[in-house]
Amino acid sequence: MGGGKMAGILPVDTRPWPERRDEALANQTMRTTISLTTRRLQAGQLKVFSDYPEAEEARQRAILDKRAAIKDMDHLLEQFSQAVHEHGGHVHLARTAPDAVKLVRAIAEDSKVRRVVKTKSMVTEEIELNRGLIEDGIEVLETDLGEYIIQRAGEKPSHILAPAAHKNREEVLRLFERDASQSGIEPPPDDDAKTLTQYARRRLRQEFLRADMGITGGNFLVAETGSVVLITNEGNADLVTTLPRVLVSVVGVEKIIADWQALQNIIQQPALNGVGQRLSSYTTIVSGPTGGDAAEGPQKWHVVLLDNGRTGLRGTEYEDVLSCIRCGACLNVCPVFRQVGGNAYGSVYSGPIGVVETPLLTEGTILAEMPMMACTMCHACVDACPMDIDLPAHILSLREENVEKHAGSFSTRQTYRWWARWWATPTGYQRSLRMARAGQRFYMRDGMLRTAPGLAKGWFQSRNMPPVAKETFHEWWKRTHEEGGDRHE
Amino acid sequence: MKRVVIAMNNPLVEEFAQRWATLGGLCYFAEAGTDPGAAFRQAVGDLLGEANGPGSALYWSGPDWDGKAWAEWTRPLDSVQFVAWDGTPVMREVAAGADLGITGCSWAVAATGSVALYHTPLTGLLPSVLPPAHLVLVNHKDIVATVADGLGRVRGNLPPLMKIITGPSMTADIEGTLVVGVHGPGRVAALIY
Ligand code: SF4
Repeated sequence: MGGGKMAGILPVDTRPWPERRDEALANQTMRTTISLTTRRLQAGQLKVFSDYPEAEEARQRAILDKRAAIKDMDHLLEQFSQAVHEHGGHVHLARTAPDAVKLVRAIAEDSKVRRVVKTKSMVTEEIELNRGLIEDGIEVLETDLGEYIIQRAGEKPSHILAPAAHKNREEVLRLFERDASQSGIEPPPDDDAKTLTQYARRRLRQEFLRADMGITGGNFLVAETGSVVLITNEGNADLVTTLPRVLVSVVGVEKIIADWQALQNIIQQPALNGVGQRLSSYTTIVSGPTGGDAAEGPQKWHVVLLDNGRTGLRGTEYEDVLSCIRCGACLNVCPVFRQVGGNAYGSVYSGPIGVVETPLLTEGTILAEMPMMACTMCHACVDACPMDIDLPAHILSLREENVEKHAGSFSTRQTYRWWARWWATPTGYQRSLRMARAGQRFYMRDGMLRTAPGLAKGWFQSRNMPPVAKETFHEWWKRTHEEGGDRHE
Repeated sequence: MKRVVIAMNNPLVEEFAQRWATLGGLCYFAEAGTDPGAAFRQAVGDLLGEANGPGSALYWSGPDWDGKAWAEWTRPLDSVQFVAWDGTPVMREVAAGADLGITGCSWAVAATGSVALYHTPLTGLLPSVLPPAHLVLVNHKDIVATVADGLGRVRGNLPPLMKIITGPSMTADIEGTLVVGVHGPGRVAALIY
């Protein structure tokens, strides 16, 4: 596989969309909380930009920076690796999800790790890292409050920024009571949100202090300085990066930005667009281990760079998808997401970005039907997206590709062509909005919307890729690192 | 106190203070001609609650606050046990048990109400995150206009770990209800001098 074009592997809920959707629509707790949360976050995004013109200027610069960084990714990843290495850290490259899991397991084994604390990270959900570590007998604890709750329940996150939005207070109390009796500590006295949070603080505090390895994701990788930037509101990333003796940051290759100047432009965008704050409570920047007998900071720092289908999008019409900063703004405005929440999408990546990204990363091997199912073509997502990712256009293209590859029937193909043109004109767009509202009403009527005709499955297999840079990061890696190995010691 | 200068009537200081307060932080000023010890003791008392203790505070303070004045300022708070951060591994347990962490900061941002801390052996990050309350000492000269200005100061001086703090630790993960003090401090205060 030259050029790094290898399909990614993502976890999938294999039940059909109508089943996942109907299950979601029947979950009243989830619908109430998702509805409140998405509206609050959307309002927050609008408000924070309204009296902060600098934020919009920075956003414009950030888009340019990010697009350029994706083009120059091979070179920048190389620069990043060298900078981390100079600071005493180690960089590893994982082509696929299983490669990444294998790498982290090997690091844990090398360092004789028994207990792991984690920050919230979509990438580690994507590679299903916890399962691999638990198989090795390692205790893995999620420390983001929402993630901790759903880990106790054995479930998946329902919103990028509010993973436990489908759980109500009574359910959380029951989970925590069971957790308390298992770990021999005092249970929370009542189901007040504050009391429950205090319980989690107390419970996780002891785990932070005795964990030997911390695992984080990363919002940005700064090539110039070899830094991983983490943004949280709870403060758990600060503890995960300062307390355990080994730190592993698992980050998608597309998180790369060129330099400190680019960081200055983009650093506020996740908070501005995700939660409507000028900055999140904690921005943590890791650029190296702190060394042997320091009171804080890791003795060893490893960065695992994950491809898993990402570099295959470069040079295609979908390249801008790689500039996603996972702010969740497109989820918050999506009429479908607001009704069904994240779990119904069947992938770790949900909402408009999820229906585009999941089939793209996996070359259509999973959830290729979602662009047809979970979109009303209302265009709210592209307006909300701070990185100007053209999600509706991608959804249309994916629909068309799907039709061309597999449905074959002339009339169906014509229908999609016609729709595409229809939505490309202002009047067509107006009509589509009306239709979107109608579509939304369907969803509201507890799952009466019929699934689209069976156009699904395995489109894309023979998609032609335009040529990419003359030496890819993968080739550079191969050339400059040990044969066949991903380790960079 | 010659190191204490006029903190108010400075637009950056005012913007910082206003943003910091909007985020739920307390603000104290040590102005020229006043005893900074009084503002300091007020802040510690408010953060610890219940008439200044009893409690324990883990601190580092940076070059602006010399050891001698520190002893003077803290002496009246005799129910509070002050421990100086020394960068040794035992500091982890001390920080975990402390009621209050007191730190300086490398710079602060007016537009966002943020403070930035760099890890060095003698300026640890743990006092700012493990105790339930954090008091940050902000030299008014270190307040810059924007996050970009602050980050610009890092160039050529990048520590292995640094953090930018913007308000208390918080979550809305349970039914969207905002709760402060999850893993980090729920009570934060800035003393501007
Ligand atoms: S696609 Fe855009 S709006 Fe959606 S999560 Fe990514 S950056 Fe945010």
